[in-house]
Amino acid sequence: MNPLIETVGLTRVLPAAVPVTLVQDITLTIGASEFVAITGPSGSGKSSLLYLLGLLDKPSAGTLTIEGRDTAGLSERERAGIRLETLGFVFQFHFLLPEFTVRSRCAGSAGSVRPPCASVRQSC
Amino acid sequence: MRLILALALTHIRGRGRQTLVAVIGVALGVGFSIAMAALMQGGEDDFVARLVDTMPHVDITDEYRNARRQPAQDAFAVVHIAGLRPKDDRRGILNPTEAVAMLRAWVPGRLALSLKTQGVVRYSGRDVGIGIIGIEPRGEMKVSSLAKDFRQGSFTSLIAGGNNIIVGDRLAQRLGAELGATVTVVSSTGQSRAFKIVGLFHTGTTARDEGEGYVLLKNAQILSERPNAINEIRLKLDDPAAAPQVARRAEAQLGYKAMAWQEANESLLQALVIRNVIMYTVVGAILLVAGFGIFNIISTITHEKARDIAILKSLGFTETDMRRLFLLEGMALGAGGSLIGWAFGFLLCLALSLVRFELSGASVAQEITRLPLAWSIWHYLIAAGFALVSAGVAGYLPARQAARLNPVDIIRGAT
Repeated sequence: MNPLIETVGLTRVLPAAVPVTLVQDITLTIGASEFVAITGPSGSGKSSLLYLLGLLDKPSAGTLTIEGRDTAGLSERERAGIRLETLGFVFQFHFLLPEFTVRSRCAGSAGSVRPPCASVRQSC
Repeated sequence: MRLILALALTHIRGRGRQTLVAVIGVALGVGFSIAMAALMQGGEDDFVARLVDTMPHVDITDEYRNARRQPAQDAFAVVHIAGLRPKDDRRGILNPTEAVAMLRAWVPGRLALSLKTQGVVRYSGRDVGIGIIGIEPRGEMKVSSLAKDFRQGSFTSLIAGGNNIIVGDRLAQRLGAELGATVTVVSSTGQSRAFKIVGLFHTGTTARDEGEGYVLLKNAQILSERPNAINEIRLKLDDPAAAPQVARRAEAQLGYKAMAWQEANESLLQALVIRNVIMYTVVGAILLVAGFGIFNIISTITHEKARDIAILKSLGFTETDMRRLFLLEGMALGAGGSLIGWAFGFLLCLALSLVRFELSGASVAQEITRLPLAWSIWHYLIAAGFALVSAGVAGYLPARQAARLNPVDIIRGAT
């Protein structure tokens, strides 16, 4: 089974006078159709790991491969492309764009590159 | 792109009052710029029209631009002439009939010949110095703008029997003479003749109304003791803009100095160019100020919408998309302001065109009854162009900042 997401030694350190380590040395593999829950106490770095996996943040060390593609050398545009076409991100708190209807919210990201598909139109 | 446009419009709609203020700011800037450009251009056009109207388009006089070549210069290669004193020949355009025939053959317009001399007009013990201009009435009517400035009589009144003169109304006033009075004209050569005033004109230019008198060409020739002489050929062209080319050709053909109206008023025309530069600088400054309003609103929106920017970026919007979004918002405000500004500028011009001024008196040389306004689509396009550039810059600066936002920083701050 080809892994969808694969990380090796993924680390994120916030640079500061006293550097803060958010995620340290994470190595994991998530395959297709696999349901994975990452659990841990508050402040353990769950969200930070998800930001890294969701290509919203860049790791300080380690590698992240999505669908077999190493994300280290990707440009900002290519990362945005993967976020748009491959990943879906559900925020911890409700992060909604107040200007949009449910339909346009559902169709939003897909619609920025192509018209929303029939299934999106029907389900909204 | 459609989604970005929809987002941009939703953003600026969401800040109704601020949007309105920014749009009104741009509209006022554009409106006043249009009105100012129309006034300045109108003033310039009016000035040039008066200039073109009152003076001949090409003035050929009995002067030479450069010293005439001496035969020795043609005969020998090494000749240097200094301190040349030519024999005192009688001035004037030689062989005027031939010169006029040559010009008539190709000049696209009308021409009139005249002899100008100086003299004194005397009436009831008063002496006033005048420029005596000998003319051919029929030719003069086609060339001179004076034809429409007659208060009494006309150029043709000169033809009807005897020695007649047409003078400015102010000159008549200074002499205390009226239409029909007989005045004595003494020329610089000492010749004296009695002339009957058969016409009065009022050009509005004090120098002319007080100091010009028109007589028949032959009378001027008698007064100046120069039979068959003329010293000026004035051309009125169908296209005043072609004057420099016509002047060049006429000068090459006749040898006499031919001056186009543009050359005669070069410094004035240059001053107009400088005036235009100043005007567009002021217009630019007005719209720059309006641009600050746009900068303010876009800047506020980007601060307020920081969370939205993070969401959009996490959804897959690129930095370019974000820049485009806020730039578009600035441009939309600029475009909206420009459209309203066009209407405002048009109404302002309309209102200004209805204002009437009546200026007269000894200190005022010209009478202006309405504000001169020029209606040109270019004023609208230039004002809107300035507004859009200003709006673009004002939108781009905060847009660039918004695009650089790191979504995680914002999401972390919100959680």
